Amino acid sequence: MARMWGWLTGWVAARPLRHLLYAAAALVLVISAPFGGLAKASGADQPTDGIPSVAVGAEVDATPLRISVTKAVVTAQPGGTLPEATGGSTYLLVGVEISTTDSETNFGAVDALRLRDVGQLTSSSLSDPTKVVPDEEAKAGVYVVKDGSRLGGLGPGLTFKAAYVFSRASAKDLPENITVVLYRHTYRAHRGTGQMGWFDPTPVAEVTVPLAHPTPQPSSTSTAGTS
Amino acid sequence: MSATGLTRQRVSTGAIWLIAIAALAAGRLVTDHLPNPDTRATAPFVVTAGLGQSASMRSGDLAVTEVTAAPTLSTLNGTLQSPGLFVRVTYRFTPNNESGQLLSTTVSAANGWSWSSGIGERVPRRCATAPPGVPAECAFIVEAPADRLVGAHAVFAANPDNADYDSQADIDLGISPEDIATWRAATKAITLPEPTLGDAS
Repeated sequence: MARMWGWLTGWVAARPLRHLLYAAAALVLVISAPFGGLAKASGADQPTDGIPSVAVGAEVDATPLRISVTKAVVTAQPGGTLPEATGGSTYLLVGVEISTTDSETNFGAVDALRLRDVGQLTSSSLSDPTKVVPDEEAKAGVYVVKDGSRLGGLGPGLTFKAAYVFSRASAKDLPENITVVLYRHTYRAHRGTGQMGWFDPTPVAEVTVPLAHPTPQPSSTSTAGTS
Repeated sequence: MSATGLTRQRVSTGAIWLIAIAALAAGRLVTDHLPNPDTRATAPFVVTAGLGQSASMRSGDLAVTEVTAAPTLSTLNGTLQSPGLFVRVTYRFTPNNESGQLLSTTVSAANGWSWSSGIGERVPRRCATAPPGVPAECAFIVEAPADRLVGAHAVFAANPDNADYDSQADIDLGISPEDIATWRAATKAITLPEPTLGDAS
């Protein structure tokens, strides 16, 4: 063993210094590979520049979900169980068709979609629902279009027409088009608890959708504007 | 030893350390992908039964008394419509040593897919925490595609997160293709009754 160690150190010592530095850099890269290597640390605030743009209606593999963005609507009266927007605020509804590729009920729909370059989106936090947050931090409620119920989990084998409902502090200065960013996740053990779950949101596609302004309708059961 | 020689020796020692760390990282990768020997030791103890039969679990006795389904579910917020079926599983649970209820209620298909209940308004569960020896009549809803329900089982456990180190009841719901045809055609929405405690019979 000692002899082999001596041979190894001698052999390594005989390499040119520059080669050793290259080898060390390569080794660092190899060692870091299981932890992501040169990939940027993921998160919903990860830069979305350079991700592919897909057409409205195209299905996107946002593992463990499959999502097609079909339309975007601004309305103060979304219907269902949602109250009418007041005080100059409004709702932005993003219509989707959504299903899961998971083999069990998946609860990640809320984390799979964000808006970009809209501005004045408000927090979904119960403690301060009117607080304006950066677009990438604004989470939507997800509702089933047919009956206005909240879509909690997505079971395998089921496809829903659903609406991501964002709240916006002001109905003014709305863009003509909104950009919808879709995220995939990775199934792995939580680094603290060891419990398996879907983590590491990574943007996979963006969809530019014209923002429709429907004529206000009387309240109905279904989620307005996306049916 | 010259300065260049000393530097070279330090770099070579560092490189060898890196090789050792790389070997450890590779070992970690391999062990991460090998079956965990602890899995068998912690795996739930599965108790099987059929519809109407009693399954004796660590925390109590369970019997599934009825299964039915329909494309619609009546709730306080209106009638919900499923792209598949709302399946209602009615069961009786009698705790044995301490008050409790079963907090993990799912339906699983032959292909390994499973649908959970108890989280969200579309898939509610209604049950009461019963004292030892007192049966609670409970029910839960799952939403599942009709073409996966023949041969489906209901799976129950006390812990909502996992059933490791504990018993798990696996109940064959006895669903036939005829049941599916009837349920698909059902025009009346199913409801989820309030739980009851004690022997109602």
